[in-house]
Amino acid sequence: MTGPDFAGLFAWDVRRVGRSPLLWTVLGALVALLVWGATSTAALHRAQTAAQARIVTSEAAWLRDVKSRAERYSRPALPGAPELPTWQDPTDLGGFGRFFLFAHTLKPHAPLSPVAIGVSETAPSWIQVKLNTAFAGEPSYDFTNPRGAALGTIDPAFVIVYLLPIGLLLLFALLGTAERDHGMLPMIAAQPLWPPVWLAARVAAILAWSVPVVLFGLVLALTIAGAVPLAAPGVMAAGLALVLAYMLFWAGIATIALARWPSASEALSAMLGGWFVIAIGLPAIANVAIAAFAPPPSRTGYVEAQRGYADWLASRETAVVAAGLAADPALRPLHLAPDKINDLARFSIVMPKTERRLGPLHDAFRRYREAQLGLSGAVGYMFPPLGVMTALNTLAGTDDARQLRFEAATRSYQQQLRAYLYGIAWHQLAHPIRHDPAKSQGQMNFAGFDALPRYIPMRDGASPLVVLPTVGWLLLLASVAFAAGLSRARPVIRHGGHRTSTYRAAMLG
Amino acid sequence: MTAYLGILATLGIAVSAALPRTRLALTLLFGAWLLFALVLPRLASERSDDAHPLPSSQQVQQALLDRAPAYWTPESSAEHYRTLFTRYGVGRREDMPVDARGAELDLAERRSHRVFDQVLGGFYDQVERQDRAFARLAVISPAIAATAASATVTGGDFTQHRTFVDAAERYRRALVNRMNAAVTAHVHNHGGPRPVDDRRLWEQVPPFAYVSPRVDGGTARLVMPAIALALWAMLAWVLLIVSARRMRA
Repeated sequence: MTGPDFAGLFAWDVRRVGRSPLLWTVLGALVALLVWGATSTAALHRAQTAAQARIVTSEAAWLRDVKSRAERYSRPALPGAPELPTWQDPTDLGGFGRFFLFAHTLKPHAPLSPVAIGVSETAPSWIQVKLNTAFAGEPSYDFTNPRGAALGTIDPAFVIVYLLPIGLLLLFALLGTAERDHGMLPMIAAQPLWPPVWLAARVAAILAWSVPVVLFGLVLALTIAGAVPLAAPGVMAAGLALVLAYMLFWAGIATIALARWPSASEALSAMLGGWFVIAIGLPAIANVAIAAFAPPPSRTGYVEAQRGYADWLASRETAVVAAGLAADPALRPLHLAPDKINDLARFSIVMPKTERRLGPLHDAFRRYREAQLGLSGAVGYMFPPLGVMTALNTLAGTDDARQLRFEAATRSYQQQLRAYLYGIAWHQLAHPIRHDPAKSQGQMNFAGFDALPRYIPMRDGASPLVVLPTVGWLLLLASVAFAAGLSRARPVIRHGGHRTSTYRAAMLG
Repeated sequence: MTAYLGILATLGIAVSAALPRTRLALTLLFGAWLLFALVLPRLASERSDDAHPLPSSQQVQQALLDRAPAYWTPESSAEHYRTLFTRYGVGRREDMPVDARGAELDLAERRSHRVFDQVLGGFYDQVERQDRAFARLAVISPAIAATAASATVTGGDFTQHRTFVDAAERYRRALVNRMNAAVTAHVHNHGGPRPVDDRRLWEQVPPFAYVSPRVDGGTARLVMPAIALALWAMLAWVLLIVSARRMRA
């Protein structure tokens, strides 16, 4: 069979598809939603960045106040002034470590964070680090309206992962079946053209309009939202490659459906059924299965264990501290009374023991999250929408893996603070600094405010390479789907056989 | 839920009957589902939240830290005692008829209650404003009406959660006030070992009991979603009647 080649059909289809109001309605809606999603996500991230800036300001004000108090308390108390209790005295090491220390860790947003809201709405972007709290800090969660959390938000990742396929499938279903629905297939069948080429040209024409508009729309949305795509060109390029591969994947699925030469309603039903199964149904079933077979550790159980351990410690703390002091060869000869030592020295013995006791339970939560991460990586290959969502979160820096790294950095910072302050407390056990009320109101056994370890915010930008396996996998799936679809669209000519092709069946009505 | 499903079914039949081609009807219905069920509820939710923005946890914590710090300074302690001296008509801690430490704890605690009511109460009021704004937007989508109404009917909305939070806070305050009263009652302004209470004190604290609010307590919050569902039902019926008449013609 000879006739128009692919290039000729493609050029004709590009012109025809480009005049379709449906095309521009769908693409316009998608771009508008991308802009909305990017601006609202960027607004959330700007608010979080502003909160972090206020924390930095508060820390500076706190340091000024502490130094000013230390200076004031370095002088003798005025006559009749009450004794300065430890929790009001920053020059007392124990008081400073327990009641004054005001330190935070911050998780800055990545340059392209408006791409995906990820865990940024639910996980803390800053943590106040307490010296004597087990396993670093008490995360502070921004309140999210439960109704909003249940409905979800519109961010570019949601638009790309869930709405873009629907838009594309709508275009393929309606623009790819117009001839069938208008009764023109028999006329076309009489033309000398090869059905797979005709189908490929139509699919390619729709993609020729959709791909640049969606990719440009994403860049435009990020730019309007205040992100600078060129600030992370590798990440931006990887994101665009990912979206392109995802569009090709759905185009492949659509090709399989169109290869049966269905009517618009048949095509729409089949494609949207496929979308529902791939994007909603199977991931939901997988979630239920994972929750059933690998349930998360119990938070209530952890709180109960903490309570039980606190009761145990309350009744044995003196013995625990005495054992800790006796374990140090330098301190053993001093016969220090456990209930008379500095608060921080006591904590330096109690906290490691507490963390050893509760460690297995605490680690179970981290291991569970790490297992979930590993699982989501594997599940992402089985269900491409999940894989693309994970990849977009990673590029945006709002993924759970980065959150885990932030929490690990917080823990590391707490250890640095402990090493510094507990170290001084331990040193002062052997070399105590006696308080002379005639010389100073404060205890004056600590003045290292400027030497406190500083937290260096993490700057771990996403590597564009991390999404390459997902891009490669999507391209492979798309190739297989295109090949299967185009092969199915080929007319089957059997002389005297019982089988007829879908093409012939459609041509014959 | 019956009303919501009824609206969807009626609209589906009306549109299918009105349009000459299946592809048009299917496209329109699918587009409508996408718009009304998937996009508009999220947009409405974000719009309601943006219209009544909440302070960040950092702002809330900083406000509490500034106005009701857990550990007060010597300056604020001196101010506490000036208030207490005026209250008891004395000039020294030692002359106070109650325990000075307990009285100061009680004073600071009750001040912090007022701060909590202002800061957190204002915060919770804002969340309820968000929910009311969302319910008002029910007129733009029956899915919004169904979402707002079902949360109220099932007791899953924030207003009912707040009754639990408030009950827990009242219990906490009663417990703290009772303990501070016990400390205040044992006058210990001249030093020496502090008296210790035993389980008889703790047994005076009743267990926490919470009774969920009745569903009809949320009737006012159901008004907007109910009106919206009624309007949508009327619209669907009008469309169905028009479509049926056109088919007969």
